[in-house]
Amino acid sequence: MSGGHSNDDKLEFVVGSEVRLAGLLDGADAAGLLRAAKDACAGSAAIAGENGAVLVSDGIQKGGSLPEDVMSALSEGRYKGEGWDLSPVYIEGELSGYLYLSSNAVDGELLSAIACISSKGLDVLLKNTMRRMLAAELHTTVVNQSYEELLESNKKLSASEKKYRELAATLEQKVQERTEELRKAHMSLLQREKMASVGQLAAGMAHEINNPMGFIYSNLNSFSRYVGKLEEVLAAFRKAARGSADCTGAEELYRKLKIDFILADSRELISQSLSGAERIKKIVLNLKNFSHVDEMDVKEIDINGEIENTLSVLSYEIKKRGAEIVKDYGPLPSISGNPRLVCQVFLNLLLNALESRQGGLVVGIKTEKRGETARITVSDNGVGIPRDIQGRVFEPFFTTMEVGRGTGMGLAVVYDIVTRHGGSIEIQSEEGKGAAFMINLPLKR
Amino acid sequence: MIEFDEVEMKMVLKLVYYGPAMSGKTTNLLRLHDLIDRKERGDLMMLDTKDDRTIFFDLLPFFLKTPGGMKIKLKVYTVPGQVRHDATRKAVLSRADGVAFIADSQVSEASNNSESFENLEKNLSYVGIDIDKVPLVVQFNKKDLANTVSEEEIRQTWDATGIPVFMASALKGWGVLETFRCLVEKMYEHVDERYFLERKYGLSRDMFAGRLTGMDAGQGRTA
Repeated sequence: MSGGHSNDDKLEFVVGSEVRLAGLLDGADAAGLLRAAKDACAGSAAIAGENGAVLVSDGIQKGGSLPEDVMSALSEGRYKGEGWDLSPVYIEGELSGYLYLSSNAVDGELLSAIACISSKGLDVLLKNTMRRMLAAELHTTVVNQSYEELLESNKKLSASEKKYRELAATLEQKVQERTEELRKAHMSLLQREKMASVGQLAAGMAHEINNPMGFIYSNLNSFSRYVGKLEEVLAAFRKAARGSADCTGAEELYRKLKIDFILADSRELISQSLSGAERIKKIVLNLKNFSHVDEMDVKEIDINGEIENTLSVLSYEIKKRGAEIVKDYGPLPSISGNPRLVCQVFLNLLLNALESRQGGLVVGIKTEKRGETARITVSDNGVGIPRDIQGRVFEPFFTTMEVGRGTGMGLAVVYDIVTRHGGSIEIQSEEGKGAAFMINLPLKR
Repeated sequence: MIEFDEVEMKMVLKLVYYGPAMSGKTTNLLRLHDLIDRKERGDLMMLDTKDDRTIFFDLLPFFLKTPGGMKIKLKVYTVPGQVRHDATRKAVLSRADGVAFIADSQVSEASNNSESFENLEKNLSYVGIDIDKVPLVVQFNKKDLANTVSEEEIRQTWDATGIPVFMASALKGWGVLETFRCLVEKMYEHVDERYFLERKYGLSRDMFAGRLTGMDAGQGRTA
């Protein structure tokens, strides 16, 4: 049966497609039945289609047709004649053909009886064949369908398995990376908070020291003037009383108490105190500049100026180590950023450089404009950084100093601050030949 | 999907009785077989059962000739209701021209009914049949039993959908023919839209339904 529909490309699973009588008569079953019928009536037997064409037979030419007299009797609605008998064959309620028996050896009644039995037998045979075919058809359909679904789900499964396999392979690494990031973030946060409170402390101290220092300084100046005046008056008195017998005792006392020396030394003491006070004022100013606590978070930064600030904070350390600082400042436009944090970068890099060697240390500081970035290079002639740990020096707590000396946070903080300002940092170093840290900060953000 | 061979003047139509396990699909067909005793009705073919449960399907064929000489074969199938036979259900459902959903009206079966109906919706779409277009009737079977969901409640749920609903007891034999006739009529309308059964082949809806059900032509729906 050719269906009028082929619009469903996906599914060709059809159960119960139309079958014809010929399709049900394949195989030896029908032939066996016909032979038995033929033997019973000692004549011939055949199964013909609706149109009389012989489909299976025993004793009649196959491919031929039922005898003409039978066909004409049939067209008149007669199923019985002299020496022959026709039984209609139904498939699913549809008249599909005839079982034909012919014999001259038995009488009409016996022929009818044989025809009746044979026709019932044929009916059972056809139904069973049909049932078998339907079951086979359904089985095939279901198997095909299940197989297709299986292929589909297998495909999906392999894809997801692959995905999970990849995920599993990289999971450990990913976890480590994230843990490391987290640790870094946490540590630099701690460090920044620490630095912030140190800065606050410094600023507070600077403020507190500034006030008494102000009057000490100004009092010293006044005192220096007073001492000058007293000296002048004393000299005048001595001159007026010279030669008078009354003052012999006084002159004696003047010499004994070494007033000449005291007057000269007083001037010296006052000027030393003044220069000391001067130094304290400068230190306080540096502390204030460095801490930047009184400033807004983001502002324009003069990099060269900030490096100078940082150097003056470190001047004691530098002097103590006898280090030589070689400055090579290029003209730089100001960048915008957090001055306190940027100073922190310079401070940490310089401290790092100062630790790199015991004697004969030379620290180079170079600034230059490169395209749209400011490049700051801090170099030293110290021990250098072995190649295998160059990748690790920015890790928090990574330090080569003995326990208790370095925090291991210096370069980690540097890295964090630089990247937060949109910049990058590189190391150039060879073991034993010093190290250079290059920072690139964008001029515009 | 109507199978139609214009040269042979033969049309094959397919109805499917769907529903949860043990809702009485096979009993419906058995009852139809008993109630419609005509020569043109083929025999009920039951493909193997196991412990009285359908594992393949049952098939009840009908055959009729229109006044215009067209041969129409109608095959009524049941599906196995058990969840595990889903592949078989898909296969049987494909190319269906109408579906009767046989629900079990016992209160305890409510969730099985809805699960099975969802399964029907899913499988219809799987085999490419639009549930809004395919002729569909619902039968609440086993109404002879105690402890069933009331008709009022059932109608409250279903009337809004516009799907015809029948109360039945396949075991006692009532409601079965009405369900079948309604489905056949709906299917006729569906087929007529496309193949003009009445205009071209002189087959009216009532004649079609009447001959298939053995009820007098002209007798209306009993729903």
